[in-house]
Amino acid sequence: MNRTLILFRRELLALMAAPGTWVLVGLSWLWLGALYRWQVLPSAGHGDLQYMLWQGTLHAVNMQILFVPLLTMRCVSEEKRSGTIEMLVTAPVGDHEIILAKFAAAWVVNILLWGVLPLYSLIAQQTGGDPDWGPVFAACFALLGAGAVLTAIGVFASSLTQNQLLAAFIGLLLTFGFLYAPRLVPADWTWTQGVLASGDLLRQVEEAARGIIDVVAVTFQICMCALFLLFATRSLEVRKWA
Amino acid sequence: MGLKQGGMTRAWRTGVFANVVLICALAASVAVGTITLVRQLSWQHDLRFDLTAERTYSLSAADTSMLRALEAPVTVLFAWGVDRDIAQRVLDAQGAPRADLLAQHYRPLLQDAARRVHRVLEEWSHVTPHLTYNVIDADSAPRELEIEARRLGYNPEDLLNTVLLVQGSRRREIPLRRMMHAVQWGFFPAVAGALPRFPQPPSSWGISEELAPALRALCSGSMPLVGVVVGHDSLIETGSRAFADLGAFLQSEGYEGRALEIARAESLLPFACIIVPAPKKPLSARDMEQLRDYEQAGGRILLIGDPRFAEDYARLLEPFGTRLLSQVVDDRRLRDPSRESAADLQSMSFCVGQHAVDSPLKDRAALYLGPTRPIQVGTDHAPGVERVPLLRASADADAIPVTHDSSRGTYAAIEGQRSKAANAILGVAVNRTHQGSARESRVIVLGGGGILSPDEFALATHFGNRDLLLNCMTWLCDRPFSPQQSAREEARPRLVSVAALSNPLRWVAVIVLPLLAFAVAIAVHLVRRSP
Repeated sequence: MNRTLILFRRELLALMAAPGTWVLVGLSWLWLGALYRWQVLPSAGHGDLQYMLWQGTLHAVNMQILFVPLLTMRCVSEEKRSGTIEMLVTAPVGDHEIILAKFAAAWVVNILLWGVLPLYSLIAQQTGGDPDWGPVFAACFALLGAGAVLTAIGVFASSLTQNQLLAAFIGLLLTFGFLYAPRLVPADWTWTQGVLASGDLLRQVEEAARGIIDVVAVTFQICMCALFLLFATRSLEVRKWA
Repeated sequence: MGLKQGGMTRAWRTGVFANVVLICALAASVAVGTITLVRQLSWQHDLRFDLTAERTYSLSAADTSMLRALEAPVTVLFAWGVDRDIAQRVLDAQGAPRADLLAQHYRPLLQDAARRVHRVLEEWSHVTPHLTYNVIDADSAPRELEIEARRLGYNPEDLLNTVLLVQGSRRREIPLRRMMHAVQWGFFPAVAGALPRFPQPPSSWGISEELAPALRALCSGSMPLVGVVVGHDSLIETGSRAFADLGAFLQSEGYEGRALEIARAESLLPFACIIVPAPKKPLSARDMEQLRDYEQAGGRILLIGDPRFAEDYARLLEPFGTRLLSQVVDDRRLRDPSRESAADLQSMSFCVGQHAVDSPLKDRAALYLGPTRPIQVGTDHAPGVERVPLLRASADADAIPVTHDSSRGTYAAIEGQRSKAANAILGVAVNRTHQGSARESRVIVLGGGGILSPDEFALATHFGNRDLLLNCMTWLCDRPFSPQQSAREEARPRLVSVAALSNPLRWVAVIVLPLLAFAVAIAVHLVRRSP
């Protein structure tokens, strides 16, 4: 665990010390802020804070489809490209510790990407609104979970190749597919609807943004996160042994 | 690199791949198994936490237990969109519906209703694996509605703006309009210059309140038999629209309504309840005797009085010390302002609130009683009788004696004999236990026939009438009262002024925060470049 923490600190520092990370954070804040100001907030009259939170949360998830692969594309592929992966895998740390540390660092930055969302509710409160903080908390909780799953997918995509652009592209496809595949299934495929409904990450976030935390959704997110991290670990292991 | 080329054979590599694939497949199976297990657990225990301040998404205990008790699959189909009635309200000079008005005024109203129904169904589907639902926007996907309607043997138009509950061969249809309390649909005249009446959204919504009893009724299996007395030229006679509406209502609430000619009936005992809907021709002595025997055997009767007709059920009500007076209540405080006669009673203030039948409706639902007879509750009654007033007139009410003209269905008020009738009783629930009968007999007397008036009852402009009748049936047939029979408070919207919020939001969210992040990026870049 200690080794994982040391690795995590190293990864986080590396990410924070990269100007690209802050450009990404700035772009995501600008994106979210602009959408919230010009699309979510009505043009006149009164805005429904609950609806605004719901819309803002969905924008924050959709934004991650693009930003998470960009954030995670370097995680493993850069180490592979530069050859530092050989040093890392021969060091006295397990593959799972490497992946876990890289994931945790990327996840922290991912939280930064959408972390401004509760601030908008705070601004609304300061300007005379009365936001319901329960749904705000639930939305943040769901974004944490969804962010973890998407970051794990990004790390997995990065572990597949040493080409960063290819890793970003694979990550983009996987995150988009993971979020939207349950909705692309035709309505008359009724047998798949029930199965896919429980794995609809977007729906889980929508529900949370209304103020509901569902233990089934949290379990799903934890399992999917663990599964993709395991895939990433195995992908690293395959490279070592095969 | 050394490791990779360290003499690994092809078989070794294949073995590693197989090992990895196996572990991944195993892990995926464990994940799917865990999710399925937790999902199964969620059907039995509440694993969802409603964090909203008003507990907006928390189902009542009654709803949850009802849904968890579902054993057979229930399918819900809800199709919404512009129906024939709505289209008729926006016809242009050529008689075609105007798409712009529909899109501007009616679609948003329907969309809001659909969103609310969808939300309730979604909440339900989280509680039980046996409930599946399909919500169809018929304007966007008419083909989908047509396929579903044909599959279920319906005309697509008949399913529009209706929630259809299906369990096996049993079905319940609940019109959307019933869930939209006091909605004003408005109209747009085709004639140039004529003023339109814009549609107004409902004053409140009753989605769970309508769907939950219908689902309960659908799944309850046996349906209590309710006899509606006919053959006396009553307010409700077989073949009339009122009879069809009442029958549909009873069926939707899980009762089997059946026309009952007392004289021809072998026995009244199979009936869980009998409704006597203000007979124009008085009941014969034999009919009355049969009804009395039924009551004494623990029967349940709903008696409707009307000042236009002479029938006062005196023989039946005598043991209860209760009498329908040959008078009409004139109450200027509780009258229907849109009608000329002060005797046409309509208000939200009738309910006394001391009985399970009327307390959920007190000050919440408007009732239309029409011309109403006062009910005298005297001191002389049989032992063991309990009497609870349900409906009362106001303190300013008068009572005017009337003469009935049953042949024409009218009454003549004798104005000269007007007297004060402050807080006159307009509805009463009575019950008693007979020696030798295990079952308590129950009778509800309502003084106004307007309660069954088709316009107010079925067109759902006065929802209190339906609710009162439902509560009467629930009490008479000894069914459990559902909390949904009282309106649930709507969560208040949390609004913020756009004018107040837009500037701070623009400065903080769009300018300051992103600039801060970009400034950090530049700073990091400069620090990295410096030696």
